[in-house]
Amino acid sequence: MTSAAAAAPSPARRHGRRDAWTHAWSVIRADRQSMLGMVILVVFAIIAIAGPILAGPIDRAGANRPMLDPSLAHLFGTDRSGRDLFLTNIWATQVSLLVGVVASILSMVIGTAMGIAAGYLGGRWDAWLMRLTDFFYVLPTLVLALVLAAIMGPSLSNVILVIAVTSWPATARVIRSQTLTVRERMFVDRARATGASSARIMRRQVLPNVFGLVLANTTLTIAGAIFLETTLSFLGVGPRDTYSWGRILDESFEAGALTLGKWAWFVPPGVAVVLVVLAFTLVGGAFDEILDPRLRRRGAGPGAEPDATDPGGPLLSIESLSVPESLDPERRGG
Amino acid sequence: MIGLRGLRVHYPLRRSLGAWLRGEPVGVIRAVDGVDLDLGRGEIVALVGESGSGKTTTGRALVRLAPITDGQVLLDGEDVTRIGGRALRAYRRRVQIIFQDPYESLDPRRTIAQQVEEPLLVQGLGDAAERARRVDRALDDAGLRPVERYRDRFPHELSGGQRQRVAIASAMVLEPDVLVADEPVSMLDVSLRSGILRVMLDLRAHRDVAILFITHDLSLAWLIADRIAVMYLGRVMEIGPAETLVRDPRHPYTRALLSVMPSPDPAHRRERRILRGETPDASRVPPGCRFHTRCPLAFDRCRTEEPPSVEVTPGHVAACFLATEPPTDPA
Amino acid sequence: MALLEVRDLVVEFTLGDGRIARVVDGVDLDLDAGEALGLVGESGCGKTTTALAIARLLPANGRIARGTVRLDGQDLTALDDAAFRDRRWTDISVIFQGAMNALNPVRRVGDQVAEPILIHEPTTTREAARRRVAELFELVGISPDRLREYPHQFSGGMRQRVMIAMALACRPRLVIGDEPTTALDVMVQAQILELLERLRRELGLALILITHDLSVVAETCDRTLVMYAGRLAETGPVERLHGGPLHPYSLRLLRSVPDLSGERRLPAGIPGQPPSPESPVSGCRFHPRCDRAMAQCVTDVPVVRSFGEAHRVACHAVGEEGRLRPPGELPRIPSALAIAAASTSGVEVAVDADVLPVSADDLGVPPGDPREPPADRPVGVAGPPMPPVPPSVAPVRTTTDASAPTTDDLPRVDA
Repeated sequence: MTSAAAAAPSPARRHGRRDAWTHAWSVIRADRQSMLGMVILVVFAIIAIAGPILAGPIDRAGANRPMLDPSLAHLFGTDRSGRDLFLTNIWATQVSLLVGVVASILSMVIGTAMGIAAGYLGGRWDAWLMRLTDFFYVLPTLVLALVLAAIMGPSLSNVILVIAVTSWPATARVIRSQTLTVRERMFVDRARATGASSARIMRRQVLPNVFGLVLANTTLTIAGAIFLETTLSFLGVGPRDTYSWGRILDESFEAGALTLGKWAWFVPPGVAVVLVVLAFTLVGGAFDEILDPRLRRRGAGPGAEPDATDPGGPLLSIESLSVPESLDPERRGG
Repeated sequence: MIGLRGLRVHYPLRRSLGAWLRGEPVGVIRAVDGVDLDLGRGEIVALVGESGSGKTTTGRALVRLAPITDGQVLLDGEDVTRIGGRALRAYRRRVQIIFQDPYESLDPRRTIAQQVEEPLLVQGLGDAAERARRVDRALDDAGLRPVERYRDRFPHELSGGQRQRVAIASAMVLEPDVLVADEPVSMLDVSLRSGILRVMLDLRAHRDVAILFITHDLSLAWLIADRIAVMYLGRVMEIGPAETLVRDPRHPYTRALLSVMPSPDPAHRRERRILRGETPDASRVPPGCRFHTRCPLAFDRCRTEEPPSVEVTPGHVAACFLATEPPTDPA
Repeated sequence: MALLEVRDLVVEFTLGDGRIARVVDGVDLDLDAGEALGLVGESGCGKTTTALAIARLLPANGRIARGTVRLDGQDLTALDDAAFRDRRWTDISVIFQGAMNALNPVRRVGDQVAEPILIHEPTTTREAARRRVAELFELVGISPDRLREYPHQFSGGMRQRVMIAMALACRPRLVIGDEPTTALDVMVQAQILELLERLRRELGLALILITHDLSVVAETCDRTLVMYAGRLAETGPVERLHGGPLHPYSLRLLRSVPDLSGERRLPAGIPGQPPSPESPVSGCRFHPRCDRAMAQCVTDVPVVRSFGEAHRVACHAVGEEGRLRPPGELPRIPSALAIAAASTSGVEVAVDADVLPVSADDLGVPPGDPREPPADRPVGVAGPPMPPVPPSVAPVRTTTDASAPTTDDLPRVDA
């Protein structure tokens, strides 16, 4: 495409973008569920970003006294090697969220590209891309993840990769079916008629129209990715160089925390996983509404409807209005 | 300036599993089956027909949106039937289309200015300022005044008539020589149609654009077009100057169509010649004259031999054996 | 006595934000047995809502707020839902807009047509129902051999015939056709209209035909009822109303339709759009689009007056002698007063609500029109020049603390 295509947005459009953020916020605020989800996410994000900085490294902050019960000094107690579990959980928040977000973005990029290409190009492209998708789709995720993790080694980046590779096909299928309906819309034909290439139509016409779905899907995928990471770590193939919620759970079970009644070891990471997964799901529902301009500007902006429907309001108070013709020198012809 | 020569658009019919097992041959839908048509600079030609007549496919083939099976599309005498890539993009700068449904043909997620600017971006024309100027002019030409009021709106904030104006603007922003208008007013209230038609007449007058006006409504065609072509089952049955064709139709199909056009004036109730049955399927085009199955005048020859196109008067051509004979049917 | 007698029908919708929109506002309507009435107006004029209200098929957020619908003298609005359900289809049936898509794709058409029979006449055996459906098919011109086929095997016109057969299944006396031919080709439309006419003759059906196409009404109906913004504008015998319309809206609607038997020139069209029911216009609701608007039109709701045989019209510009006075004979509004009138009457509301004012072309001003935009347009008026629109629409806001009865409360006279 031409470089001119990337011209700076006009002031009006930039203004429009700010409107969009305001609008997004108003949608979320109006919906109690997504508001709750948002609050949970913000809390976890603050923990993930600020927590490790404030708390410092796990090992040094530890008490070096193993298996302590919760106390003021050690809110969640300590584990077998004497690490402070509260600190470990803070670090784990960062790792788990990082894995979830990065893996999901990767997965969405692959899935969206595959879905749009298959759906828009159709024919042979569709057949082959979907066959590839189906191949990954039918592979048992957990087994594939276990095998890949075992082969590539249990590092953080490998786990992210494993999750991305196994979770994109679901997205690809959803996006493809949405693309199929968008492709039939007249404005796609119109774009073709103006001479736009397939690549451009996919990017400029199709992508914006499936983007709401992509985002709604991302929030769900993040939830799934966090879950998968937890599972992998719990099964012992997660990253070994850092702590995640899954690894804490894994170690607690290995140490028999359940039978020992050391609830503070496994409950916090478990609750965290459930909360974050729930929060992403709650927020996901609001995205479609945010991204649809048809639902925007309702009751705001220059086109605001006035409150004229109130039948009790004063509409008219003219009595015996007379209109002398002589007052109207400029007659309008009809 | 732009012409179609023997244009054919055939689609293979999908066979059912049973048909495949029985070894039946692959059927063909003959959507457009040999159409010749010319548009001069600044001329408005109306393509009239019922659904299934192939009028829309003809228009889409003209802008190279439908796959052409056979025949030629000529622009200024140059064959553009098989061009692709860069040449096709250049062709599309000169030949534009607007669609029937003003609700569907705009991207709901982009502002009016963005939609109208898009063809310029695609074609790589002008810098930002130049593009903005052309967008404004196209909107103004389409009657969306004052332009500032519309630029940053979304399609759902506009009425149907206004959306169709946006569609016209985004086609005209490239300043094409040919505009294909596919049923541009059929989704609009009658009270709004005149406005859109007037925009088209103005565009022809000021921009000298040739318009292929596709419609199922003969009275609209008669209002706006210089010439009318009546299509039936993929072929042009009759073509001629608008007034001539309406006042002195020579093809029985045109006559039937004219007789069933309702009139708002009850004093004008006249005898309707309602054709029985339905237009045959385009995958089973009758042999001989394709209209013979429903023609009130059909005789043996019509069932076997395809009638030639007869020039009744200069420019008035009908594909019927009886075209030059005086009307024999009652009324 | 009329078969159907609708008096002062008011239909209101509750909007998503709790506000009330009055979509039909005091419509009277009479229909004799075997008579065909054409209900016309632009989209959004309340014609479909009127019909749905008569058949009690309003969506959940809509309700009949006032008025009576009498069938054979019995008030249908007084019936409860269950009682009405028995009457629907046996007394009143509906052919819906876009009916071709209203058939269930996975059920045989014969079974679908038989369904209302089995519901309303539970004693009917399946075999009897099938025989009746076969008769109905024959009646509407479909071969009874096709009873066992599925909707996709039918063309659009044939599906519409199926829908008509379904509407006739329980031998109703009144059939409401909501744009029954809109999506069809002219030839198929002619076939369907011919069929409806024949059925009307043979079965003595009363028919309400809702359409935006005045020519369809002219060809098939006995009487026309023109609605504008939820109110009756004009009603009368087809010959009278189409031959000499009294309401400026009817006049302009009729002039919008191209007529092959007339002169070959672009119809004028009608400027602007109907007001939305959420923000009604004061006085005569057509006044912002009317070339005959006077001060009175801005302030007073025109009463419905009778002129001759069943010809009724609601317009201030119609003289006592029953003649629509041309614009030249009418008093004009001095601009300053008009603005004051507009600002106190809530008219600015209508202008603002019309988010996108009409463009000059929508106003039907041909290029080179000699009419100049008025020189006395108030300063600060955004929007295109709107020559034929009276100055009362000037979007000037003044805070007037007027408390007076709303225009809706003004007395209405039934002719």
